[in-house]
Amino acid sequence: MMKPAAKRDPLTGTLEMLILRTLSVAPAHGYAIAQHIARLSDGVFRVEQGSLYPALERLLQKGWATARWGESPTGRRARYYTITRAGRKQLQEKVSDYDRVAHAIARVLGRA
Amino acid sequence: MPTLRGLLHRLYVWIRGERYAEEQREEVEFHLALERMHLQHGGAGPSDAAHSARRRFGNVSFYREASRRAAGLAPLDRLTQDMRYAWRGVCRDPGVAITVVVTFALGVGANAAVFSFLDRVLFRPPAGLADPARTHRLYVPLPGRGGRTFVTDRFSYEEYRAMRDAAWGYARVGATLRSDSSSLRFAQGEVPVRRAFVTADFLPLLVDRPARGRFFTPDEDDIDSPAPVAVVSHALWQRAFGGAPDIVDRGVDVGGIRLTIVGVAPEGFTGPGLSADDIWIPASAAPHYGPQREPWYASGAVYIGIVARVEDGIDPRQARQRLDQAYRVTYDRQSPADTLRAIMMESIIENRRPGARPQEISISVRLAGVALIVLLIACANVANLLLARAARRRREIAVRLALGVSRGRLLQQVLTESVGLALAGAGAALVIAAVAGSVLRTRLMPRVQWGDAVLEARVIWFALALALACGLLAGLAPALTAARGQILEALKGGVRDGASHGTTLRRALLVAQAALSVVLLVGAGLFLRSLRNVQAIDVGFDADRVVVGSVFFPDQQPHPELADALVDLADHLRSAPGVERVALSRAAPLTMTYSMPIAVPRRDSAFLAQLDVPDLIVASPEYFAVTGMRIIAGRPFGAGDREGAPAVAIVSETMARTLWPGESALGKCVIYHKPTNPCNTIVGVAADARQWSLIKPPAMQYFLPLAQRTGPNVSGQPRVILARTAPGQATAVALLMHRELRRLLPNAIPEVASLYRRLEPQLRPWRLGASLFTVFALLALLVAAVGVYGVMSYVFSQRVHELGVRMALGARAADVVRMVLSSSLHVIAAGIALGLLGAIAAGRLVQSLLYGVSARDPMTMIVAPAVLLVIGVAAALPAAWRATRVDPVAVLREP
Repeated sequence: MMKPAAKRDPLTGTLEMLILRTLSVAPAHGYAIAQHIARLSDGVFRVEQGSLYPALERLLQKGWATARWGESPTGRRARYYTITRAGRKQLQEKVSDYDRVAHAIARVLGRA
Repeated sequence: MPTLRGLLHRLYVWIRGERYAEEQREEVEFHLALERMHLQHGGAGPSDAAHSARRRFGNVSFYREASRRAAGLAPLDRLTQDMRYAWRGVCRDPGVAITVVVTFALGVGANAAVFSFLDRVLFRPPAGLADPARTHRLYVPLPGRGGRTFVTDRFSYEEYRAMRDAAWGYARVGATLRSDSSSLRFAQGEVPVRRAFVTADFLPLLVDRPARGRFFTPDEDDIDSPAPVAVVSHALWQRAFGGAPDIVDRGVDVGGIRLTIVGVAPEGFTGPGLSADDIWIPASAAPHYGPQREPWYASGAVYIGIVARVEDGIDPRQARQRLDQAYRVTYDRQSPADTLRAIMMESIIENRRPGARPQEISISVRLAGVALIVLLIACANVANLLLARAARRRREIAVRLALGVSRGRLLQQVLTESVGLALAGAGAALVIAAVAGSVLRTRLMPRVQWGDAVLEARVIWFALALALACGLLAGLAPALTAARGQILEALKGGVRDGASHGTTLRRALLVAQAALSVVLLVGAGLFLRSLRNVQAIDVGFDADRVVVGSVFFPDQQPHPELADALVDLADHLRSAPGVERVALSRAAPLTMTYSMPIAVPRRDSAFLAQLDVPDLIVASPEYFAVTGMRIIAGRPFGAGDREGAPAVAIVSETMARTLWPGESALGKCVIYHKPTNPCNTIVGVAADARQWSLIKPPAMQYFLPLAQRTGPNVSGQPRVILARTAPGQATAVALLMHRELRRLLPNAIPEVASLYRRLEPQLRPWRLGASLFTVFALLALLVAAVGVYGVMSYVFSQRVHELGVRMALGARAADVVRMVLSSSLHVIAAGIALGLLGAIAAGRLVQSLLYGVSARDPMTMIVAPAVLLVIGVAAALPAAWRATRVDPVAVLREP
């Protein structure tokens, strides 16, 4: 079962959080997800493809996202990922975890 | 926790397998294509872009593996790989594989068979109960002979009613008379059934609701006006009526009682006992029981068993207290001084009864331990075989390690192999368990009519779990040895190297096998000796030459014509072929008896009161000659001991010794029943004879002549006819007697059997103990012999080179044989020493099942190890023989 939120390591699953956040806007294929993350982070997060697809596979296995084959704008077959209800819930939790941690760090650094 | 959707995804991936990998590859291709496009737009050249994309993407196959690992599939992949590897190993060495599978099958099969029996009789509550945990049988301890208590599960109708009424709101109480075999006649034919007579509250208490129709109403169970109704089991409904939907209201005939079926019990339920009941009839309709054939509900008659189901939310202790109070009230009226009696509310499982359990149960519990030992021996054996093989594969393993296979992976591989073999063995074990389990059932409890199959889900799970555990256990040693292997050393060493590797462990396993075999052999020896002792018991009569006949009248009325019929029959039999002598009496060993108190002049009545009440046998003068009971002093009864002549008696040896120690009993006086009765002068002393029990020490018995028992209140009417037959004629005479009784007394049911037939059931537990333990010990011996043979052959094959060198240097064949044998002798000697210690330690566990032999019997302790020694040496001989045939030249020329 889920451990209490405070005890979880805040940085695990950051990539998953970013992916879920991306998917929460609209279903997307892997490349689009990577692009989206890179663009929004001003190129700070360059998602290594080697970690992107295993992360997506993990999301599928946890049931936080589903995948189906669809047609991409270029006309090629692409695998589109869609966030599930469980995924949204998870995202919410992760974001609030993250907020708490970010807030905590900010306070320690004397910026809050 | 993955969600259901996640699990489905995993399943999807697993099922799609390679095709899913294909999909992933396509996805990657798509990614790379887009990236290439993107980079091109950014200005790089096409080949540059592809390269860069690939570089940025990294190693595709590595990624794919990572992705599969993420999918949680790596273990599955590895397992498939390991199973393939194991299968190749099996194919390379089918002999070892077959031996291992057979060994596992024997070990696991024996255990599964014993488990299936114990589970059925001791662990598992009866099938179909609504709430087995809150359903109980009631017992009560009673004072027995010699200050001991015994526990009974039989109650009187009065006690049942009192408890039922008092427990209202706390527990529901129902009663059952014993169930018996009968036959069911109906429109379509006749089938054998077991009918059970139960009170109206019995069925709803156990199973809540019928599957069809209804159960009995209390009115139908009124002892003054029994209703002819019945409930059938689901199984009988299917078996006899083909599951006909209009079963309710059909008329049937059960053992002569016409009944209307009112309901069908739920599926699976066959009563709370071991035998499967088929049809339930209100207790009020039951025929009368017992030697007096009084109604079962008569005051003081104790024929019924009681079950109670504690109501939901009630503390069982409270319920028990209510029952106990009610029981005491009924009991105090009879004997207020008795404080011992307190209702015990125990498990519904028949054989979990408090107090003495049947010997069959004790035997089977011990048997479980024995089966476990056999399994341990089997595991040690398999471990040994696998170790030997692992040693042969040493170089292969070293190469694999050198190539970078992780040791954990290697461990897993070896374990996969042994577990796989064990599971294959489990399959065969289930077949063995099905056969052996039903043999156990019919041998241990032949009277029970088992209504279910031996192989049941729990037994199958048990066998699988056991096989898995054994596979791991047996594979552990070889796996660890393999994983610990020194790469360099093994690679450097030649083919000839390696004789000494792992031999210590293998020897230790052999020692353990030998030790466990000794324990089992000692056990078998003890049971065999105790069987011989039981068979050697002098019962005091010639069981195999005496046929005893009596009758039972179903109408429960007095039948004065019985005596005349028996006298006629005696005359008829005297001239019949095969009959030597005929006697009439009112009691006979193993047939019927009654105890009658005595008074003895000049003997303290307090002294007499503390003795057991002696058995009285009223018999015609031929009784002693017919049964073969010896008169050791004085004379038997004669024709002169008749009405009007001086009253005489004969007493048994034990009685004479107890009442007149150090004196002759002849001429003394014994008074029958009441002190006011006249004196019977003792004219003879008879050698002791067993009355009911084979192994209980003989009780006091006294004999009075039939011809002198014609006064008022004393019956001189014979009830039993005894015939002494020529050797081997018992069966023919029994048949004749049966036919004649039928003819002379058409209203009666004859009960005829030789005394041996009646004695035989008492010998059975001893035979069983001896035969079962012997079978298991032989099984263990066989497995251990295979082990010794296997290891010795292996050790020999490892030492061929050394032996060749020795022979080239001048060693003779005798020296070589001595070398090979001495190594096996050491192992066996160590095993025997350990085994004897174990046997002595385990002795007290079986002492209670032995007769006339100590669990530390020195004779057995010598013979059992000797047997093992012989077998062990015999198993090592082939290796020794092959050792003498080693050709030094050939061996030395080998690379």
